[in-house]
Amino acid sequence: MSGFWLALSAGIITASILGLSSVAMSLQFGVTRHANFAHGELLTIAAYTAVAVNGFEKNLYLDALAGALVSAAVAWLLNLVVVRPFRKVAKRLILLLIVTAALSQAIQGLLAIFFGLNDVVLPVPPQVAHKVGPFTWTALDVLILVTAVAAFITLHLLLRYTSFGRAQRAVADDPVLARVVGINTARIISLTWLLDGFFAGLAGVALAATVGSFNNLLGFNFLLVTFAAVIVGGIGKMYGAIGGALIIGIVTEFSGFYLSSGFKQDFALIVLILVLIIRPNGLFTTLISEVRA
Amino acid sequence: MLNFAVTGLIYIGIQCILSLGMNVQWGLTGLLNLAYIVFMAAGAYATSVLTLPKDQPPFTTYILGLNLPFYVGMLGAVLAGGMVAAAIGVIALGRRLRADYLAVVSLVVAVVLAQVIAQDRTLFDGYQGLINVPVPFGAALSPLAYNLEFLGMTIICAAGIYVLCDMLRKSPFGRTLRAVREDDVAAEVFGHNVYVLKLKAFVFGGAVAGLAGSLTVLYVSSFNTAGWSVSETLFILTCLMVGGSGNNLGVIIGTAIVVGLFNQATQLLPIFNSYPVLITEGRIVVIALLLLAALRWRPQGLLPERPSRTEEVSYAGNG
Repeated sequence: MSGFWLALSAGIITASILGLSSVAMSLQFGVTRHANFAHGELLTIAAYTAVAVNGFEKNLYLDALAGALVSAAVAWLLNLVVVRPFRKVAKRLILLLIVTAALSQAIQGLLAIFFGLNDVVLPVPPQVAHKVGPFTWTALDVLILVTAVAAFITLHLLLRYTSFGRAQRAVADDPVLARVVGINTARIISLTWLLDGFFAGLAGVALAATVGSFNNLLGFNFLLVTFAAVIVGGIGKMYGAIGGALIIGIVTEFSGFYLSSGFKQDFALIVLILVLIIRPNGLFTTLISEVRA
Repeated sequence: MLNFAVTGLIYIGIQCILSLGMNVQWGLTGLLNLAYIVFMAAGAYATSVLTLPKDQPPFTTYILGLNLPFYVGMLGAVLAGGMVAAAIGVIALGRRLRADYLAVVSLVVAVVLAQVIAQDRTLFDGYQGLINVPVPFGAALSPLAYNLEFLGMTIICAAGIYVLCDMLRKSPFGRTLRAVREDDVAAEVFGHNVYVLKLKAFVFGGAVAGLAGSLTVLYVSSFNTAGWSVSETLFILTCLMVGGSGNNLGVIIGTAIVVGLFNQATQLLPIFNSYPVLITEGRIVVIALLLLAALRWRPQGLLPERPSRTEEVSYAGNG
């Protein structure tokens, strides 16, 4: 039965990283109503930043913070310079998908130009696995888990109890009405992108720390599982995203453990396709709401 | 130099076929299918395994290997492209899903398929791919003569596909597709089976892409998983947007410009010795930026879609 707990332990950590990424995407999607295909690149940028900062100062906390802040800035900039101008002229929301997909390619290319195509490593101190209750985790694992949980709690408090949170939920619910009530939707959207980038950045650094070595496709590969988690959980719902991340994370690790580790990610994607076919609004939604692009 | 120009024209021709197929899916029907390049790959692989002899080159493994003539291979490619498109279309178009969903599902399918084929060597030799695909004709010809003959075949195929696509665009079916693009709910209300229409557009585009894939592999004699990624689909989309999506002639012009200028001209630049990555990755960045620029400042493309001709209706008493 120890295999079960091993897989579950790994699943929870994967879910933590995935949760950070999914919550970020869910936040952004709730407010902008379109998917961001460049989301993965926010993770990749943070990872590369962490490696670069690590070259100067070997402090994992500093690296993570730097990565998250840079990604937040990039996300905010992307909204300001690309997404917002396009939203004003786009006839159909689907054009924004193409825009973000093009951005994704451009960022990948730029990262390759600046950092090369060879694999990069974020050095972490050597890890020893400990038993924490029934789970088997390393110190890094626990750090990631704690960070994720702290992030979710912070976000929950932010959204529930601050005026920004209320305004953000209002904009996510009905942007026109929010503007009627006097909320500065442009500013809220900007700040949401900032948050999106920050949490995605944390996820990116965590991913870089756990994956060993990576290249400019790190975030893109994670984009699909993020989509899986967000869609399974219900698009736009933050708590659903966490639930979706848990499901996908645990399914991934279990299938990797019991079936075949080479196709781990593919099982998650199969779950995604099944959910899309059977219950496209996600597993945690009760409203059958159909938003047309 | 002439040989280089002819080769360039062949690539442009093949890309035109790809673009025309995508124009049916995106330009006419408004389907953002990020797995489009998979249909091309299906065609390429089909042609390869139909025309290759059994286990011919050492160290490669693949299915079939029937050593049939190249035109059978091409036909197989068209069928393969269409069938793969049908399979993916059934998964991706089944429900009245949001527009985002088609993009996401197609992306997922494309990535998963690429992984599966790359890792399973028994199908198409994994990520190393297939090599030494038999040359269509006249192996004894000089390179220039061979290129010219292949160019002829490419032009014939491209012209045929262009005529076909234009006929489709002007037909009632084409008009219905455009109705679906503009408002699929309204189309459904008027009695059209939107799902079947989208599926047909999908399969048609897939078959065309399969043909392009077949031509590619017949010319280059090899094919592997590096040849089809999401960036390829975005490249085709750029050709469409620059030229004018929905307008077949615009698509041809856009393809010629983008492929000719960017892909082939950059090959004439001296490779910066210390930065070879700059050329290959820089190309990707420039294409992406070009797509963004086209979408921002000229989304209708160089040749906008021609509005359908209807009679002017004047309403008596309009102020």
